[in-house]
Amino acid sequence: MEFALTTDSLVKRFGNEATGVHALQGVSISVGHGEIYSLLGPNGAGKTTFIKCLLGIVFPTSGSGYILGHPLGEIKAKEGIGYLPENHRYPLHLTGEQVLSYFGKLSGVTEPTLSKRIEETLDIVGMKDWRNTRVRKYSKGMMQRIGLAQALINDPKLIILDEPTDGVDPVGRKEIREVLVRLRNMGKTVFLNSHLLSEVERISDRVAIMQSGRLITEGTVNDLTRTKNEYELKVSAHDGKSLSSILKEAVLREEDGQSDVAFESLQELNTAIDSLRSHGILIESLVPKRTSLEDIFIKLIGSAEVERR
Amino acid sequence: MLKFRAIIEETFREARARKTLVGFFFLSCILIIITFFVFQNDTVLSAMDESAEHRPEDMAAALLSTTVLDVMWMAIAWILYVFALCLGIFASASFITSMMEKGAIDLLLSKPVPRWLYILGRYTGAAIIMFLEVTFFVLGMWVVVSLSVGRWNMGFPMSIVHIMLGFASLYSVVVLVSVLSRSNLLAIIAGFGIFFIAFLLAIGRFGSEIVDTGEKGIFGYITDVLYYVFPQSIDMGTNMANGIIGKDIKWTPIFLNLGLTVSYLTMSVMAFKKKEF
Ligand SMILES: Nc1ncnc2c1ncn2[C@@H]1O[C@H](COP(=O)(O)OP(=O)(O)OP(=O)(O)O)[C@@H](O)[C@H]1O
Ligand SMILES: [Mg+2]
Repeated sequence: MEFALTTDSLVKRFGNEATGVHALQGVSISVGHGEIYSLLGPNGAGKTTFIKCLLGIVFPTSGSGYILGHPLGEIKAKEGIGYLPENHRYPLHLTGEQVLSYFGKLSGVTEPTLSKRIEETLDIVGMKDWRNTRVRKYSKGMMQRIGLAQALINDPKLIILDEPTDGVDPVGRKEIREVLVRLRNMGKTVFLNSHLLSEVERISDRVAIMQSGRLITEGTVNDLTRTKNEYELKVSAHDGKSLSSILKEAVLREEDGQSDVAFESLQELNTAIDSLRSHGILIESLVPKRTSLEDIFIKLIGSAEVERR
Repeated sequence: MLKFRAIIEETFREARARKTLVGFFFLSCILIIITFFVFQNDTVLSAMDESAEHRPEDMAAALLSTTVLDVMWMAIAWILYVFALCLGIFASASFITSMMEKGAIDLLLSKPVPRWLYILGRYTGAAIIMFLEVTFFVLGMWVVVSLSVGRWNMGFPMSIVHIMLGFASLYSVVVLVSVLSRSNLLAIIAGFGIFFIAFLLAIGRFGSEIVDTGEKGIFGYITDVLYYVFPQSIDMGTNMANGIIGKDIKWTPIFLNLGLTVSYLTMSVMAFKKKEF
């Protein structure tokens, strides 16, 4: 499969070897076409630096990468990209519509496509009413929306977003999520940086967690949040024995009818079901237990911190 | 070409937003109006009238072997030259630094536009704006003064070209300093500073021409090097003055000046290409 975006041991050092900041220490990422891929990590992890390397805003110290089949830094590589930078600032004297027109032209969009795209993107981000207002008067969330519209102006194949929901209210965040999912459904690839784990969790196909310039884990949201061998068991009210007296140490936690259980193998699990049934207990549901991405994140970052000390 | 035009258009919008366009026109108008009133004064007018074709005996004018009227035209042109260049530097120094501000530059560099095009687009935008302003200024002055004294100096409008040549090189240094330092203030200081150095060098070289000791000395060499390294801003002005009194203009400084402009721009592009944001 050909990737929309791939890097191979990307290293970025600011300053010299001894005293400089090692912002990226060999990052290899591959993002398939039509995926929503999220890069997570604490402040200063190197997420923004990674994106800047992709776009040729900073130059990698070593390593390589391809965007839509073109080597990093080539003009061609940038043609199919839409980018929303972190803390972006548009020329304050421009109106929302002029922002789209200016950056659209820089992206190589010509009339009459440009006018059409301006209408479409304003519509997508819900900024039609503000098109003729100067950016100077925009609120933070409006700025973010016009930024997203700007990132979509050239109908890019790959959309790179650095903290897209930063400063946006809950309704706006939901709208942005919907836009991203819609883009994915149109076959676009979305790469985003975020701190908002619960959001990322809802829409991402795959996530990677970065810390101190290294990827510490990567996978689909499903894989990462599934906890091995643990299940949530729900049984209907019964006045027989408690679950722990039947299943012994397999029960991790028990609360009226709701419990967490762990089994070494599928075999053990089924034996347990049999024994519950033989005690006349009705099983309402049994599902693999999931931890939130946030729990995983905090656990992983925490243990990495410990390791470093 | 579309992208080049978009960058130039944006430079125009920025100039309008910063009121530099309006500011320049406003100051030009004030200067033109003041000149107009000066020339309504009878004493001034009669002085011009009587001595228009008269070659005065006094030292300075004799040296220039010219008429009072010509001296007046040259004085006006020199005022315009210094005024326009200083104002031009002041007004257009921000075009490069504003583009390189945090939050703005990331997005620009992410576009499929080669880096040199941004420098060239901004430079061209500034030059076009400057050209419009200087044209208005010079022609406005020319019409007002000519109508007042009743004589038209046909060399005067050519000042536009000489002022633009002076601006082109001076601004290329401002661009380089802007790219290297990302500081608006430093860029303006560099522009003014180099203008001033060019002025001192001109005095120095003029002096050493008069008092020819035959030997150059270390100071002579330094002034020579500086003369070739920095824009020949004063020479452009001298050419302008020569054009007004019908003397030949010197081509060497013009080519030197253009060569320096290209060199400074090339250096700016190279520095910009290496820069990380
Ligand atoms: N231009 C630069 N010069 C020197 N150091 C830099 C530069 N840009 C980033 N860094 C350093 O690189 C590291 C990674 O920064 P980066 O901005 O990529 O983090 P981030 O993951 O995006 O953080 P955040 O979540 O706060 O946005 C930080 O230690 C930062 O100080
Ligand atoms: Mg960041």
